[in-house]
Amino acid sequence: MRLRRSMLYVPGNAPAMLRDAHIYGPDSVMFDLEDSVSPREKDAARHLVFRALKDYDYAGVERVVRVNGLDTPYGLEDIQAVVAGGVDAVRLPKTDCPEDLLAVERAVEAAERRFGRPSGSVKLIAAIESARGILSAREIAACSPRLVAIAIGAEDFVTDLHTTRSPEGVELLAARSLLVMAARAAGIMAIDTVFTGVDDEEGFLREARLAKQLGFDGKSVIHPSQVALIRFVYEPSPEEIAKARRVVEAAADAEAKGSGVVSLDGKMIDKPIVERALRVLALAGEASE
Amino acid sequence: MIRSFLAPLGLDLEDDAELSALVLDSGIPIATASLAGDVVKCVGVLPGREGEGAAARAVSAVVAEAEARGRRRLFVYTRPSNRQVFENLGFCTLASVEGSGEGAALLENDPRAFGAWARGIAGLLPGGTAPGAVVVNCNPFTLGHRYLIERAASACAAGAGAGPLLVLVVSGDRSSFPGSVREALVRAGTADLGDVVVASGGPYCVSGATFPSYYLKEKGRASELQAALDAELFASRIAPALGLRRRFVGTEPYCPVTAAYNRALADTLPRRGLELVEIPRAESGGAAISASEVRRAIREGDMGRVASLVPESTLAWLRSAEAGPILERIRTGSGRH
Amino acid sequence: MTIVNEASAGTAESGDARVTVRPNAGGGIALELRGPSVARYGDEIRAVALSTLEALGVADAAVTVDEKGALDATIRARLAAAAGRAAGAGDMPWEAMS
Repeated sequence: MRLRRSMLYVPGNAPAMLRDAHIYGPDSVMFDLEDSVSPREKDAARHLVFRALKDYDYAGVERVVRVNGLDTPYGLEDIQAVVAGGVDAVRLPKTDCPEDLLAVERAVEAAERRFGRPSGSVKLIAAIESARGILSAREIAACSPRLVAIAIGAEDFVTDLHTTRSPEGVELLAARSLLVMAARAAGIMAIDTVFTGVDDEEGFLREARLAKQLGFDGKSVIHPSQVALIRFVYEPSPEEIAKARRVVEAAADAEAKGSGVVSLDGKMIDKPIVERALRVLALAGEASE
Repeated sequence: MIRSFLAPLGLDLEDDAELSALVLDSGIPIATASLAGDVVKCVGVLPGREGEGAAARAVSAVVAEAEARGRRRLFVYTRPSNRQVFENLGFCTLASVEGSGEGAALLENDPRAFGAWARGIAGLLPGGTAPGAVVVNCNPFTLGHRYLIERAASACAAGAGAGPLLVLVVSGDRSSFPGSVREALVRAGTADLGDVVVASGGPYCVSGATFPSYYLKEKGRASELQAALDAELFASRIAPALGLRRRFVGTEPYCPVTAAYNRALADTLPRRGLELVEIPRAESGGAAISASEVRRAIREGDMGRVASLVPESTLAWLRSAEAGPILERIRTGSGRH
Repeated sequence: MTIVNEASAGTAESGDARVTVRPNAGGGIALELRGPSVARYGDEIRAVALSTLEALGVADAAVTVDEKGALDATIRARLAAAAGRAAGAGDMPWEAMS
């Protein structure tokens, strides 16, 4: 079960950060070719990210690249470079409608053929950053078998709404919930937006706990210190872990006996409960098949 | 003067500091850095004077002096939040751990050194990888180590992805037995095992003796943090470079530092998709065989007990002339290591 | 790829390399290396630079690499970017660059 509790942003034009990002223990690293790279350096950043994907071993951390949109002069070549480099997932910014994503899917498919990668091996993540996009979240989330997660980009989104971000995030409440619902309906993950206050640990924890409570699977982070904080927020309590172990054992017992009914403490355990227990154990680092 | 500068910053000047640099502004100290061996530490800046490059100047001065003394390869332990100062001076972060509370980062001044070390080890392994590793200090090599290595090697030789066991020996001379001797005894004690490759861990298998705690408010956390840092270094750098999937350790009933190590490994490794395998310690006379037990027996002059705890190869060396001064130091010293 | 202009890529920051590529018609590859890693790892850096130019199909160029503790991947990337700029190249032969 691939976890995406933390997705660490790394500007694509920062060689030292590209080299080291995974040592801070995020579940995913996201090399950015889009907003953090100036137009003059797009080509150079593309080369840096290509080489990082090819040459560095990220110890099992998922490698995601945020490419430029296909409506820019850079997007198509970005996709060539990252697919050739071996990227795990391509993240598309500013996804407003399913067609935006499907166009990227076609480009990725062609690149897989060009570079001899198995068809479907490159996954997709869609960032939704506008009102139109949020209102189409349900369709976007369901439109491609390669799509593994949808994310919300709050800065652009609140600008689109003609408002600003507040600490409590009330302006984002509906969008966040809609995003999570769309993700669940499609059976994929939901990733929350970045928190820019690098020194504001309290504020970060507050927002991360809110995201977790809303059902988000994880959050994009911009600084290594936030990686440890996210893990802390998503860590199940010892009681939750103990309970989850018992549920999973009961399920394994039932399977061994060839019984379709799982019971624990005299109560029947439904499949969703078993799945939730498995998620708890995955979060606790006790991955099991 | 340096101690009194560091104290209000909540930092200590550690006893083994060989030299220190102090940056002054009109006679007032605003930043300092010290050197102990090949480790730069005790770096502090007067609050309010950060961001002026003062810490960088102190560190640069220490680095220049170290290089003048022929020490080109330098390491730094610092708070993760201080990484940038060192990275700007050409240091590269090897590993970093953070939690709620203190953290620790280890950096070195040559970004290519780790890769060169790893390639050297890979060159000893068929296909450049090994399925599993142990990291041992072996102060000295005992029958307990032998047992652990035998069990680990047979686990590596079995099943899919079979290959040799990599034995990394912690280097450094802070233990009673110097690094070169410890490594030689490991090699001698495993020479008959065909599926074992012995190599020095170089500076990348951190020794508890070198980890400085100068910036930690809770000194008691030092060994815990150092264990976490070492585990991270293994999991995020060493294991991927050498294709390692498993790490073997002996269960640790006595030494709290080693027990902390195993806990840190148990916490860190699964997160990185690595497996920790704990192998129960070999016993002699109802007690786990340990190197500290051997050193205790040496201190008490009980060579009969020593003989029951170590293989012939180690015993032969202990009886050699070369061992004389080392045994003497153990007998007269009071240190646990 | 034919080098027709002078172009650079990279910065003088720690971990990076500043690479400049100039035309050198008929002169083959002239390579100048500078930086703290060159004394110990110069041969490796040289090999990396030459193999990158070969993969790009650059036969003639005057190249300066000024590194500040840059790893091979960074040097390859900066050199490829500088060469691409110096050649006015559009798309890159990614499959050749392994």
